[in-house]
Amino acid sequence: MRRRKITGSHPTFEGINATPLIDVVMCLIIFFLVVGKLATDRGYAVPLPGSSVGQDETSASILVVTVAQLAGGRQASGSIWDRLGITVQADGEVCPDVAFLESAVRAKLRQARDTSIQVRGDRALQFGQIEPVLRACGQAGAKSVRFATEKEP
Amino acid sequence: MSARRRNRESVLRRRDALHNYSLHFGPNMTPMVDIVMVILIFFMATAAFMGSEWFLRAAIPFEGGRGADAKKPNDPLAIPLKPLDVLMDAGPDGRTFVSFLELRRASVDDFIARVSQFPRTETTGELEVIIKPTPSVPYADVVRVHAACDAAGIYKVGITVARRTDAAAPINP
Repeated sequence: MRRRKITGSHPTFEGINATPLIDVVMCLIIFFLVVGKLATDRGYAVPLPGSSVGQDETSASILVVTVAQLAGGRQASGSIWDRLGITVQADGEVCPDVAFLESAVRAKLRQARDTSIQVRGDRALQFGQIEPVLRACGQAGAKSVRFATEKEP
Repeated sequence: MSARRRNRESVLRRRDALHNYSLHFGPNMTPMVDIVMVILIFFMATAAFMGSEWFLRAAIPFEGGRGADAKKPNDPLAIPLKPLDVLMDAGPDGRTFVSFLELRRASVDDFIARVSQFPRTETTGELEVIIKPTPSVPYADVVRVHAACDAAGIYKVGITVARRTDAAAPINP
């Protein structure tokens, strides 16, 4: 009876074991898909006002409206937003004017009636700078908005 | 001496990775550790992206009238609750004044103290509060007032917007 040799030189080369490679690559793909989606939808990172209460987002359809201060090389739009000193983005896309924002909100509401409009406003803004954005959302048919706030203890 | 030396050489020759691998027993931890590391980084990154914020829901009623979307109460004989107005105004020094019920041009902290004393009854959730800020009020104060209403159990909060669509409202620098 022949004994199989368990030490010494390795038996014949049978190709690369691809299983761990596929595992890791799969995880990386999922990671970049999720992070990519999160990173593109948000627009400018703005410091949010704080609040000690709030709800988590439950709606499946979301439109993120970012209202940032017009400073630090942010793209000016050449419209009413400039006079207000703000720049407005809808789902990460710069809105050149009020009509653009309105049509973006309207299109999203047409897709899903229960779309949640998230307003991410800079905490240093004045209400007069946020109001035209709210008005545009209201005129596009949104009944309510959700103000994004930072969790405070 | 020479036999001992030969033995030592053969031990040295066999100390390679494959030899060590073939001697290894027990589960192979390497793929598991790889994947656990990736999952760990993934959750750390998502927590950094989405962990630290939540949302305040506000209706956006237009100035002057509740419009066609006013909800009728289920009971046709119920007396409709009148929405409570929270008037917000900013002084020249940047301080915010709030007028609400008996409060006249009080500070935001006074408003928060007042609304936190609100009796919690079964109709508290039916109460409607309309926040009416002037354009120069800091947005952060509007959010504080809104959060105070939510904390007091008043969930129907609206922030009124003017109906005009023309020029920008005057802004204090």
